[in-house]
Amino acid sequence: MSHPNYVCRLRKALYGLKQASRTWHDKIAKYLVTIGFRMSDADHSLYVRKSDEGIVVITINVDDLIVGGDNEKEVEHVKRLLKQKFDMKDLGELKFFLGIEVIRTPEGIWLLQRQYALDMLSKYGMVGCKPISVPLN
Amino acid sequence: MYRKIVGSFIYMTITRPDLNYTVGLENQFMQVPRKPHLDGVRHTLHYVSATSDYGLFYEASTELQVHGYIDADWAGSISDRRSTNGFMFSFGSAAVTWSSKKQPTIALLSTEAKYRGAAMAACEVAWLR
Repeated sequence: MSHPNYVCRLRKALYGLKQASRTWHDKIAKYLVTIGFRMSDADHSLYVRKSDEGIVVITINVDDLIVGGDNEKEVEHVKRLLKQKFDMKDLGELKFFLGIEVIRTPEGIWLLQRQYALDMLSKYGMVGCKPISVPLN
Repeated sequence: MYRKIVGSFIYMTITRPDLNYTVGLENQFMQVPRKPHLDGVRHTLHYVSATSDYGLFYEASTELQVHGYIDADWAGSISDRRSTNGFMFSFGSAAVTWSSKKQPTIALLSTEAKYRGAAMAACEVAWLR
């Protein structure tokens, strides 16, 4: 080593570094803006793109994205753009998000934490306990 | 144990407005839980067992309108007589935001308690607009 007191300045984000998540967020946020999305003021992980074609909404949770909208074609288009830019996989229709079960039926959309509740009950040894109809007396 | 179970309940409240008040109350005894508190938490586990398939249902046929509901229980806390206020806003058939929070001050009049509750809900409305 010719310069034992020298340190290197890292110009890229590396996986697992403190700054990696920030760099990633900046990167995807910038890209979404270039393809016409606007970051929501109320929630910075929510991005909206409105056009005559319809509305497309994206929520970002680290590297999980949910894409939704009222026009199937537009949604597909946005997904194609994302796939071109990033190494992404489409997992199809949303089934689970942060432990929340999403069930879509023609009648409407259910959001449930059934699995979470059952896991919790088994963790505390309360599976099959006597059901009670009020949460507290 | 008490803290662990209540901690699990807190995450459940994201799709369970019906648990919000109870969990908020149980949360107040996190520092020094006693036997009766643990009994209460056990009671809630029984309730969760009976209602594990409860959740939010956004019905396609319901007109998408925002409705808000507010209330406050004047001097509801038996230990310090502070009031707890609650609100819930629905969009279409199900709730989208809700809260149950003990007020920071002691209201001397029920009007005062409810006025403070309404003010809290109004803050939420600012975000919903």
